[in-house]
Amino acid sequence: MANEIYASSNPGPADMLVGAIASRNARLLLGSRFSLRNAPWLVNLGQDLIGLSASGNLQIGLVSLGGTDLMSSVAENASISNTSVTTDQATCTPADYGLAREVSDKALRRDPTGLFDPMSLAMDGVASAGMTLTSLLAQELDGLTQVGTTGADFTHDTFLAAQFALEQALVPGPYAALLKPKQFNDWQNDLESRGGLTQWRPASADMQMLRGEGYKGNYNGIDIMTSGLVQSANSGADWAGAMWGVGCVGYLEEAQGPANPAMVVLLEVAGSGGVVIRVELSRNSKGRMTATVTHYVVGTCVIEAARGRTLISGQ
Amino acid sequence: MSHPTAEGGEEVVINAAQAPNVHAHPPSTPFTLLCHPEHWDVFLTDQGAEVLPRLKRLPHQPGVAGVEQMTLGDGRIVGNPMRAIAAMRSKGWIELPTDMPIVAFGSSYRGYVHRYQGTRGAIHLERWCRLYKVGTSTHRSDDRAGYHAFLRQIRDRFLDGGPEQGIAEAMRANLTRELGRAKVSAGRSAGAAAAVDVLAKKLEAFKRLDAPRSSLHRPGDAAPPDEAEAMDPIPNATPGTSLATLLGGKP
Repeated sequence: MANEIYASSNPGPADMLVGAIASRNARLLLGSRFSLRNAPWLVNLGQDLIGLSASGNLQIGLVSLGGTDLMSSVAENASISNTSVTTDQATCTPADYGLAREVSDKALRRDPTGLFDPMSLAMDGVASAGMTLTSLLAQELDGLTQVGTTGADFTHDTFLAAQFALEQALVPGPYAALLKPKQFNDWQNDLESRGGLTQWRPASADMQMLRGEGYKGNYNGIDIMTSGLVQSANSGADWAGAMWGVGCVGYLEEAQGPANPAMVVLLEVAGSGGVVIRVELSRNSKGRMTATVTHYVVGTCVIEAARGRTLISGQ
Repeated sequence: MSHPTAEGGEEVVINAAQAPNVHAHPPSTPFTLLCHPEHWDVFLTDQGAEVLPRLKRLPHQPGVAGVEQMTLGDGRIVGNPMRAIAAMRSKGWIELPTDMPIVAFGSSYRGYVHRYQGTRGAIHLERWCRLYKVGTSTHRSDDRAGYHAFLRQIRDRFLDGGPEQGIAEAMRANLTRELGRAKVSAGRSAGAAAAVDVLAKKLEAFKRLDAPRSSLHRPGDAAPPDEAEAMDPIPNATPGTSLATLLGGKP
């Protein structure tokens, strides 16, 4: 047992929430809080597919139908031979994630802010689920075909090179780019000094606006986001952001099983396959402790790597 | 309540100021590095510009890229990457043994993953990154030269000494194009002006690759095929023609 919230220990009301004024002064610590859950540039595999195997793997087949193969000219009276369907496969394997916050009765009754109220902690659990998904996605994005080069700052040319590469590879939109804040700042810095056509683009000015982490705006029809969860590459020399079109990466939220009578369910968030995030209360009456426990089963995968580019630039 | 995590340790929030060897750094899972015959980059090293493998890091994070969740006998939860690695192998990736001998910061180690204790769980980094504390804050130092030596080791052991000619050509064409674009923009962009220098240095790397392919073979390897007999993928190129000549440079 560790990290329970007691009235007498840190963190707890005695240390951080003294007096009524505390209710106005409790603030969130700095952290990465931009979630990509339900973002339109990601494929929510739960919406399209069912059939998770008992071992927990979902196989996603990719096929060359819909006009991928052209017809052949045929001679009169000639037999038309079969054209094979080209296939590829991606696998998504959801895994169990959870978060528990346990608060003593004394801490709860002496908390003037409501921060440790079970519903407040339930909302924290739901937010944490979104961040967990975002973290998994950020780890998927290294290893696509690379644009940019190690040790060099991110410039507008890097951005354009990725856009051109995707367009050349016939990747349909919408496109999105997820950058480490340092990558975005380097790009901003470059845009700031650009002349020519770029300086007159309203989007160039828009990119200079301070918005904090998360959605930064749209450039050339590409939605730009930043996240502190973007991973490093080349043993810490670089950041590995990415630009991708729909169909490149996806996620699967496995539905929670039906709630059983022993559960005290506080909050449920519906997803495509049913309830995907469940928050329940767990009561230890003898210890006078209440835990708010959030459950989430999620996996991510690269569905078709050719639809994305890893954006490499120096740290 | 604390619980075992995929990072391989208990998630116990510790006051970093009170624990000298505990770092306030985001937790991360163990990982496997992979190389691919088509994934290269040009690194500026102590030996100039070099074409070296660009490694992919597969985190053993359950739920990512097909990594499965597995509970060990002692209750620890770990990511089992076997199926994910098998899937990546089918796409041409080659996994680097996690116990391979390496040199970092002048010392020899077996394995490229190093584990630190973090305030919110274990931290796993490449051996060439070192976390250290100054007061209560955590800083990082890097052994770039050691990492580059490791990449050379990977290149020679797993990737036949260098990229295939077609890939090297495509890389050079890309860099040349980027350099051209940066030169055009250099007058009106500080970032592009800086990129001109970097890209020009990086293009130097391809001069090494212009050496006859046979020189890239390690001693003891089977003799390379006679260049005159090898199929030449470039129309109108004669055997022995250097890459520079083909792309319009001086032979």
